[in-house]
This record gives sequence, structure tokens and C-alpha cells, in this order.
Amino acid sequence: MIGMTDFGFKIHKDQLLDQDRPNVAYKEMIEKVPSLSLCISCGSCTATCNSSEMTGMGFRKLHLYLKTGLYVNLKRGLKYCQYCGKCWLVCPRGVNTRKAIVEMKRIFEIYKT
Amino acid sequence: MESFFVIPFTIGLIFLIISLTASYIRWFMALRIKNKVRLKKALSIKWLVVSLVEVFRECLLHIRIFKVNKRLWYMHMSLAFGWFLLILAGHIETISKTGTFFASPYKAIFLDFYTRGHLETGWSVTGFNYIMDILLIFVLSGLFLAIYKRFNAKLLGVGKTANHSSTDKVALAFLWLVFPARLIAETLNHTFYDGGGFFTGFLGNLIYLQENYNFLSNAAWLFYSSVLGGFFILLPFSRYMHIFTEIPHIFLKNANIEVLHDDGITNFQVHACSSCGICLDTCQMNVKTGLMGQSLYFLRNLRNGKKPKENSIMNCLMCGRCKQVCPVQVDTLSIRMNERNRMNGKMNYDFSYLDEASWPAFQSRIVFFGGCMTRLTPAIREAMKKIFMLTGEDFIFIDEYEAICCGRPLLLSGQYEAFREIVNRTRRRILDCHPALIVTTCPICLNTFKNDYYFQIPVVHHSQYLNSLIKEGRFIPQRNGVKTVYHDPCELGRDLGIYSEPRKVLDSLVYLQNKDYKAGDGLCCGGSLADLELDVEEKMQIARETIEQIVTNDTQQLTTGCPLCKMTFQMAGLYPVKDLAEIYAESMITLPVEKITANMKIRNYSNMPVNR
Repeated sequence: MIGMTDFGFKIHKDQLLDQDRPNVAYKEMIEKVPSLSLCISCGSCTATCNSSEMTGMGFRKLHLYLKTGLYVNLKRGLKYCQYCGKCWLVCPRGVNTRKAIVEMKRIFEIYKT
Repeated sequence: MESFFVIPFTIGLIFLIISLTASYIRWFMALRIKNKVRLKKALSIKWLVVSLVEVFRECLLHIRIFKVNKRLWYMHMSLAFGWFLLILAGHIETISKTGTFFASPYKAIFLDFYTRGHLETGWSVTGFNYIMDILLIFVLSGLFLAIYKRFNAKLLGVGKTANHSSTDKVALAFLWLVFPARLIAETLNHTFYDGGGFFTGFLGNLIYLQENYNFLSNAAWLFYSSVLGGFFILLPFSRYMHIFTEIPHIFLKNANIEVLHDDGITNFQVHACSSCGICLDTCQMNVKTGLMGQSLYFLRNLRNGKKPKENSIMNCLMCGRCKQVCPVQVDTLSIRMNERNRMNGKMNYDFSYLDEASWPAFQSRIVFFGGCMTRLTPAIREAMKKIFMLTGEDFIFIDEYEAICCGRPLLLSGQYEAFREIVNRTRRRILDCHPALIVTTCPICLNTFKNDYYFQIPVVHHSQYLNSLIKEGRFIPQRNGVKTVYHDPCELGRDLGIYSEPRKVLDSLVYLQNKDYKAGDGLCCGGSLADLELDVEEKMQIARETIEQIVTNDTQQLTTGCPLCKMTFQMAGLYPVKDLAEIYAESMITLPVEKITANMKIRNYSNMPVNR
């Protein structure tokens, strides 16, 4: 059997999608931003992102971190957002990315004290 | 004692005065120190005179509504100015009859009750009776229009009317009853006791009742007094608070007091809003009304002490059309920004990665800042590059790689601290090139550069730059006959007042169909970055409505000066859309190279418009 690992890809155990894992934060996000469920992780958002050019973070990754529960990475990534809205404009599925980012910022309480 | 009926009125009046004084003192104390200093510095005779004239023009004559809609103006003016004149004439009549200057308020208002049976004659008595009757008819005509507006608003030229809260409706009922109550009271007064003018006296004579029914007259006076008192008690809790709050609002406004980040002045402005609905008529948010995000409902929720919901605060294009038409000049945008700051102002950010960016920082005469939106529209970017190259300019395209935002989207979402941080970085990045001129193709960036960056060098929109090229004879335009309509971007037109330059440029390139414009009347494309609630489909609906309103039946293409508007219109997909830079660059190719290179020289940018 030939697997993807044979071509130099790695499997990140913590980034595996597991639909059975309970994820309260994701549920809350879907309630607030229903269009988030349309995301197909195509990566258009990351391709246009100002900060992904320099940090490697993009909306696709933020969404993935939210889904898999990697909240530490998510919090780090949210801080880099310049909020220009290009990800919203290029999204082929019409995900309201800007609202999703503000709501994520609010849920994960990364306010300055 | 028959005159006990004045008690409801007196209680209402005393409550009103105490309530207003307490509110105004509280709000004034909440003013920021900066604004208090501004007010102190503004105190002068000129300020006083200008403000008093404005109070007379706006609180009573409603000149700004006159400019919007004449029938609506008559309704408002007859109620406000008519009532004022009624009070004024009543007091003058009282002074002339009693001989004392300071009569009690109830003496003046219920004068006909107190002069019952004193059958005086003479030109002054008859004259006053006539004047009072004319004024009452004047007010009642306005009242008739106001009632009619509830059934058929179209006749008064209003498309959408406000849906008022229950408190407002009760207060409205009291207000509407005031004048009929006065009419009834005067009429019955003149039925039993002679006198009265041509109207109330005549009506009084029409009715014949026996002498022992004269308790009806007293009851009518009591009713009138109660209605007035009830209205006064409801006034501080309803939209009719605007009647008195507009006066301090005008004085503060003329002292150049800023609304941003100030709760005190916000309170004054919120209560000065009359919920008249003129802003509702111009608001483009027809597609999503359920959230009550429109300025009228937003301000009403603030006024009632109900905190507006998060999504109603964010459901606004911030196009500024409501601010433009507001007859009270409430700074709706700043009040909304205050709320957004309160919500999102302290959110965390980390832009330290921008320090490691390796942008090219060599010295250039022109810094061309495309902005985020221009990165998504490469046609504009390439067109501008071509224009710079063909005119031999020493330019640098500063955000071609490792782009940085101007910060306005952060500002509009309320993340003020993050905004200041990114402004510092972008500013440093631009000034590292020591430019003589900054050109941007994005009105959103231009607005931020002009208002928040405090550059000492001229910052221009590309339409202004291209216009200067044409004016200096550096470029001879080749005109073609494509029928084009120009769309005014909100930030370029309403915010910065740049209307003529893009039109001049386009007029020399294509057949421009809308050469005439009305300042401040532009429509939003719907793609505004300020809104967080609209779906793609709803934005497209706004875009289509806007396109429908600006095109004519033989339009061939749309132009605009904003990459975001261009993208939104393209997505709506009714007409081909081009930025004016593209049209400019296209016509440039048709010129012979010798002509272009003939007068390449180092230009002086000192005549460009500097910051405001």
C-alpha cells in the first residue's frame, strides 16, 4: 500500500478531523456566523491574505484550528489579522469571514487588559 | 376656586423643567475635558449670534427640511413655528391685558378662561383674537397633514416612514390632542361667554347650549390642561425630547465639539434626534431591516437606554447618507463608531511580524499606495504602473509585496488600538521613502491618510493626479465615444468632496453621461467594509439597486474611482465596470511614444492639495 506519507507528507495527529469530538466553541461560532459551515477549506482566503504572506496564518488555518480545537494556535493567529476583508471578497462560498474573526476574538477573550 | 384645572398643566411644566435641567447638567458634566475647553474657547458674541440664528432657522423654521421636501417642511414648520407663535402671541396678549411683564405661564395659556365675561372692546382685543385664531388654524393645518401622513405618506413625498415605539406613539397622541383640545376649550368658552375671534368665536356662536351646561366649558379647559400636562410629563421619555435638546445641541455643534469618544455630547445628539424618518428614506439598508440597524432605530434604542444589539451596531454600511440629510445634523457615524469602539476597542492584536518584512525603502518622488483592494484588482494596478512609467515618474509601488493595510477596516470595526498600531507602521513605511507625493487608487486609504495620518506632503487620489497630468499638458487624451456613467464612491465623494476631478478626467476620455452631480447624494455600492452582517446576496441586491439608479437606457459601461466599488459592481454583473485609471491607460497606448516622452521632466507637486 502506498500512502501519502510516502510522498513526503506528514500526518499531524492533533490536526486530524474528528467529527465525534465535542466542540462547543465551533457550535457557538456556527450559531453566530451560519455561513461558516459553508467553508470547504479551499484556501482562497489565505492566498490573498496580507498577513499570511509574512506569518503563514490565514483564515483557512484559523477555521481548521477552530474545528480541531487547537485554540492556542488560533489565538496567536487571530492577533495577526489586519481585517482588510480580502478573504471575504474572494471567498467562493460566501463565508462572512470578517464577522467570524470578530466573533472568534470575542469568544476566546483575547482582549487587552 | 374654579381655576384648579391648571394643576395638571403646572405639575407637567414643573416636572419638565426639573427633568430637562437635570439631564442637561448630567450630560454636560460627562463632556470630555477637551470638549469643555473647546466650548470655553468658542464663547464669543459671534458664536452666540450664529447659534441663535441657527436655532431660529432650524428649531422653528426647519430650513433644512425645506430643502429636502417642501410638503414635509410645511407639516413640521406649522407645528413648531405655529406653536411657538401661539405661545408668544398669548404672552404678548397677557402682558397687554394685565399690564405686568412677568405673568404666570398658566395665565397666558388659559387667558380666555381668566378673561371670561370681561367684555372689552377695542382694536387691540379684536386684533389679538384674530391673530390667535389664525395661528390656531395654522397649527391645525399642520396637524391635519401629520394625521394624513399616517395613512398616506406618499402624498407628503416620504417613501418609508418610521415605525415608532409605544412610548412615542402615546406621546404623539397627546401632542395631537393638544390643539383640538384648545379649539374645543376656546369654542365652548365663547359659547357660554361671548368674545373670541372670527374662528373660535364663530364656532362658539354656532353651538347653542343652555346656561346650566356651562360646566362643559370648565371640563374642556381641564381636558386641555391635562393633555398639556400629560405631554410635558411624557416629553423627556419620548422622541419629543428633541424639541428642547436641539437648542443646546446647536450651541455645542457650533463650538466644534467632537462626538467621537465622548458620552456627554453623544447624549445631547441622541436626544436631539427627532426620529423624523428623513434618514430612513435615504438609507439603502432595505434588504436587512430586521436587525433595526438603521440610524433612526439605532439612535432610538440608545435614547431609550436599551443597549443596541451587537449585530444592529454592525449592520451599517457607514456610507454617511443619513448624516448628509439629517435636518438636525446628528453625527450618526461618530455615535455608531463610539458604540463599535466600546464593543471591540480593546481587542488584542500583534503586528510585530511587520517589522521583519523586507519592503523596498529606497527614496522616490512618488509613493504609490494601492491598498488592499487594489491588490485584488490587478488591472488598476497595472494601469497605474503604465501611466507612471509612460510619464517618466520616479515612483515606487510600496505595497506590491508584503502588503500592509491602511487601517480603515480596523477602525470601522471599532478596533481602535489595533488601528493606531497599524497606522504607525504604515506611516513609517511610507515616510521611509521620503516622497514628494503620495498617490493612492483607493478612496478608503485616501480617507484614512487625510484624516488620521497627518502627512506633511500632499496625498492625492489617482483621479486628481491624472487630472493634473492633463491640465499640465503632459498627456493629450484620445477621446472615444463609449457612453459611460461614473459612480461616486462614498468615501471619495461624501467624505472627501472629490467630485469634479474624476469627471474632468473621464470627460476628456469618454462620453460621460452624468457630468452634473449633487454633492453628498451618491449611492453606496453595497460592498462597504463597515458592514459585518450582510450576506453576499444582500450586498449584490444593494449593488443592483444602485446600478439601476445611476445608469440611463443607453449606458455602455460603468466607471468608478474605487477598487472595492468596482469589484462589487462586477460581482453584481449588469454592466462592464472599469476604473478610470484603466480607461486612461488604454487611451495612452494609442499615443505615439515621441509625444509621450517629449516633455518628461521633474515635476513640482507643491500645488497638489495638502491635508485638510
